[in-house]
Amino acid sequence: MKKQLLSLVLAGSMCMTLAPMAVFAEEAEAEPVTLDLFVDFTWFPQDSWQGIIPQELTKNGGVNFEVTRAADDGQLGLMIASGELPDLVWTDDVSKLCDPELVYSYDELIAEYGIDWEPDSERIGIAKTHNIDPEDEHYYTIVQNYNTQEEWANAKGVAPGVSGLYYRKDIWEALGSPSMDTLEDIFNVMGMVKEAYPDMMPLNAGNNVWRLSCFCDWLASSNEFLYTDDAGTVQLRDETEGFYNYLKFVNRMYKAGYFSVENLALTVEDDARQQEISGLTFMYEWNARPTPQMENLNRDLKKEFPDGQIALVPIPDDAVEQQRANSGWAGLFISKNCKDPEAAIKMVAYMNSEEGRHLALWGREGIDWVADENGAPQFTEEYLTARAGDTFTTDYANDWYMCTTELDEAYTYYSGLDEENLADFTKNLDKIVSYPELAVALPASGSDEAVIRSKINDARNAELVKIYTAESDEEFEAAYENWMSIIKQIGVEKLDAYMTERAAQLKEQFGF
Amino acid sequence: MLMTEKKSFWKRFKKQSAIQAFVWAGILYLVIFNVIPMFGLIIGFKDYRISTGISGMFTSKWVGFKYFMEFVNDYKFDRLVRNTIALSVLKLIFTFPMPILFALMVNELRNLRFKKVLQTASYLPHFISWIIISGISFQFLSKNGIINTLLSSLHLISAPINFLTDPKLFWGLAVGLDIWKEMGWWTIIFLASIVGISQELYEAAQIDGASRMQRIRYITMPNIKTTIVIVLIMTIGNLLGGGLSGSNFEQSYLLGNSVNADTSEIIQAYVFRVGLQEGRYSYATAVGLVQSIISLLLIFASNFTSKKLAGSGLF
Repeated sequence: MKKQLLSLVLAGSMCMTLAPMAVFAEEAEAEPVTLDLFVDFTWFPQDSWQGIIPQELTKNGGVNFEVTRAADDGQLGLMIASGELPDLVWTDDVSKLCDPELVYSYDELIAEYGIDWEPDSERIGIAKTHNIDPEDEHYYTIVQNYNTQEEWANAKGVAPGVSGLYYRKDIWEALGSPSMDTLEDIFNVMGMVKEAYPDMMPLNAGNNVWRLSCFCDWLASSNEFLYTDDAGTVQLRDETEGFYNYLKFVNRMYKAGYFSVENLALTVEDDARQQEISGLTFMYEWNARPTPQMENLNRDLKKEFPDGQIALVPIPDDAVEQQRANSGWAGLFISKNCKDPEAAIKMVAYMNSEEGRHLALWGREGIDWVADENGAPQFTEEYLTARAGDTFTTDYANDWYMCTTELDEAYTYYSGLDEENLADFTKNLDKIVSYPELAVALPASGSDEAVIRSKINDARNAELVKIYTAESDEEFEAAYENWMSIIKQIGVEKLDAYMTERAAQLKEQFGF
Repeated sequence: MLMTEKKSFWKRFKKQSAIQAFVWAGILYLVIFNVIPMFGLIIGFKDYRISTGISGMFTSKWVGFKYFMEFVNDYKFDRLVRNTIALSVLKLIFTFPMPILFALMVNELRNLRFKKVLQTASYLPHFISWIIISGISFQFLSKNGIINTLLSSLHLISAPINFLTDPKLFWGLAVGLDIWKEMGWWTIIFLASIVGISQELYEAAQIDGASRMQRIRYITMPNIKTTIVIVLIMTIGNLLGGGLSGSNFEQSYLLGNSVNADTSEIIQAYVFRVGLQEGRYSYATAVGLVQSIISLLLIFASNFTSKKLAGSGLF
């Protein structure tokens, strides 16, 4: 009996000892995995996985990231060349990494680890178009920032991402609020600024990403390629009449002294932005977003000019139809060097879920935002106060849009926007026509057509500068003809033929 | 007989072991870092994809001279070759003689303290990296920079000079900055050579009534001729890289921009961009090889010319 009692006591104490261990084991399982993440954007505002939102994403997705932000454009190429890709890579050079030698395919990882995630078939199709081997049936990423036409049609109170032209509203008002309904009006306002404020440059033209792009959108097209007839012929934008008109307009602005040639050489976006918020320039080209772009410009401007105000110039009434093509712009890849592919795909799946996407951009539901009747976020006072402050980027860090959609982003930017600004941002939106197939059709990396495209893009900046800054009409025409002959020599006709055929094929395949 | 020769070889080798160690370390370094990587040139003739790794260098498809032809037929070919050669030749003409002239000048200084200060001040820029120099250039030479402000306030110019964007000014800017950065450093070599000249020669010439200029012309210059020739051959060997300083790439990459690209874009920067940024490794290798061949021909030609004219060469 004594022995039995002793056995019971021993068994009981063993159970008591093992119980906390079982709990510990569960805790250990819940411990997030730390993986390296390379962010291939030198301009990205974050260089570490810190802040309320990343913490929450880690808690729910099970992965903590050690972030390395690209120091220059060649870093990813070096990593590939040296075989030292980190666990995950987030890049806009999507085609470069859609290679089974370098990264895992999402579909295989999903099947292998039984992940409960089935990406939308249209988005899988888009991802596959980037594959190095066109015959490859796997997909290696889900390109973010994309929504179907149908989703856009159902969206309310938001605008797609287009180029924007911001201006100093306080100065414009001081000039008597002259009309800015047409491109000629805008040109005239620049002239008035130049006359009334000789120390202020009317147009910035220094932002290396968005330099003069709004004028190109309004006079030619926002996309690099566009349909030029009803038969579905696709041509490089540079060859079109609209592009010639755009170049003429820019040259007119240059000859009128509305922007400085030195700003055309700026390569750091912030240098240009600094000029705008320091009151050195009147108009500034950037992407059209109420927040954080316009909000932050105003916040920083007011530090030096408390009465200053920056607003957006609406799309002019005489702007041409803007052919827009968006099929997303960046992808998150799980490299073959990844320490824990299972944890990585789970995190990717979570970040692609509605909850993960909204958390990444909007913060915590119920704490930072609540959804309105359209499903758009209405942010809390505390969140909005934080967003208006200087430390929002570090405190909340809602920049991790690695897996979000364009509409998720748009709702973030437009939430709570006042009627007056909403009217500016949404005016003439009917001029924007979307052709996603033109983005998907872009030639795959390594193909002859991709080389032609890359050579044209490489040549464009230097050659366009000569056209922009031509001192006379003769010089302008000669520089323009030279550019036309260069793109012809590089092989633009072959590229156009490829794009025409591929766009038609994709349109049929996906029903865009 | 053979055994004795063998023994004496090993005996001599053992005796020279310390010196041999240096030589073999150098040879090993050259083999690992200069000879073995040359096998990589094979990808210039192949359709190579970086993701296939080292084995892909051997397994990828041969494409012959496809990439060489592509480069030669590129609309940029003339511009790239012209800029590379012009920048290099200008540096050879203006940058190469400057340390010699400066060494002669410093050598003639009698105030030792001033001589030391001048020498130190002149070679300090050598230790500043090009990235810092490009930053300083923006501060000094931009439209609102110190130089333009100064020139405007002295009413010497009516409109700011676009030092950093005017294509006509890029070569001058590059050569000027190169002289400022490297002249003092290379002066050390020529000064060391001058110091090694026997003082008796100068004393004898002075007794014979030779003026200072005559002493420089007939004693100093002939005695440092060998040093000048060796440095010249080394400079020509790296002519397309930027000569003495080898700074062509850094200058093109950091001071070049879309506005002055007509004169600032050179082969090395192009190779970097198409190779590493666009991932066209085969094409970039072919372009790089074209430049290496031109450099090799230049070094042989300069060595041959030097032997003919000065009686001495590098090999």
